[in-house]
Amino acid sequence: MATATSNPAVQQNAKALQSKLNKTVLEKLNSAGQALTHAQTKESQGATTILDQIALTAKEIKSRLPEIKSKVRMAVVEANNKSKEIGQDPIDNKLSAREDLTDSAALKG
Amino acid sequence: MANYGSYARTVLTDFDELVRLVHKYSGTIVPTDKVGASTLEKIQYLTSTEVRNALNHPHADFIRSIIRILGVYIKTIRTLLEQEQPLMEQKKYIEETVSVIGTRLQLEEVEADTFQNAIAQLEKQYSALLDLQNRLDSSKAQLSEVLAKTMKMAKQFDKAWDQYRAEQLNDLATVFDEINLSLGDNARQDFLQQTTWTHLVQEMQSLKVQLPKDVDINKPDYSHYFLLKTYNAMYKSLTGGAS
Repeated sequence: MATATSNPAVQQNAKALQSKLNKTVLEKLNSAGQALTHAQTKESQGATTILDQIALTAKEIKSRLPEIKSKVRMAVVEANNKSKEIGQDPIDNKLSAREDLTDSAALKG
Repeated sequence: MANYGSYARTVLTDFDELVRLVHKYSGTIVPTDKVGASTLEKIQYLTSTEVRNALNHPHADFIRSIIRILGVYIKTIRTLLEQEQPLMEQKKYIEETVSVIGTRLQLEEVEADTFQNAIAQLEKQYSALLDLQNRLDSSKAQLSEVLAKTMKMAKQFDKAWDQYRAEQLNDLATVFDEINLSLGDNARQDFLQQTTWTHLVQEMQSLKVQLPKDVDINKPDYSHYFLLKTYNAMYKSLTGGAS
């Protein structure tokens, strides 16, 4: 290790330390640390895998809701139409009003 | 290195354990009056430099993993919570609609099969919503478990580094005896303590010691850490340098 200090005692100790902390010692230190990191990464991957599955479920729930809402709406529209057919008020007035507006817009369009 | 913007740092600040880790690995000294501070106050002292310094550490991979996990956790919990209200509203809407149809069938002269298809469809969708709700609740419970496990894991991983570092430093302390260099009590204690990588580099620079060529201050590995820790102790001991 190069040093800015010109103190011979420091230089001598630096050299002695360098020989003690040789490549083999340092590689051993590094590989032990890497083994620790590797074990921890593997352990955290377990949590990641579970999270990925939950994230998929969340996405599926998100994508299914509009589909269900659409089918509910269709069922209510059908109930409204049946009501109209037998001369009764719609089951859902608000939806019926919206449907009428849509029909009207479609006719005009 | 990933750039952690203010939003990411705000997110990190929501997790006390992570804030503690960022402070520990960046060497941030938290003022005692800030301990237990509100989220808003914490943001003020979880800076991008602190996050960057915490991640620039040989044992920072686990912090990256925890951040990644928390990122997915936040995104997922948000998606789930956003579905909760519309799901409940839709359930309520079906319940009300079926109730209106039921009343109509009871009070007025309407043939029973008039709304049969609509009711069947509504019941089918209600059942689908119940299924989604169960899955949503179960996912939320699983997320809570994962979060708790992740926080526990973060503590364990941090502790493992403390143990590993202490063992290696205790072993390395014998090197000083082997080269007949006597560290004073304070220097020895200082050597055995946790030092952040950033602080180690700063100390070496303040001692005007050139770093070995193969040491990349932006990508430190374990050997670089222990090497600098040892040289740092030696230089400080021999030159009377203070940190």
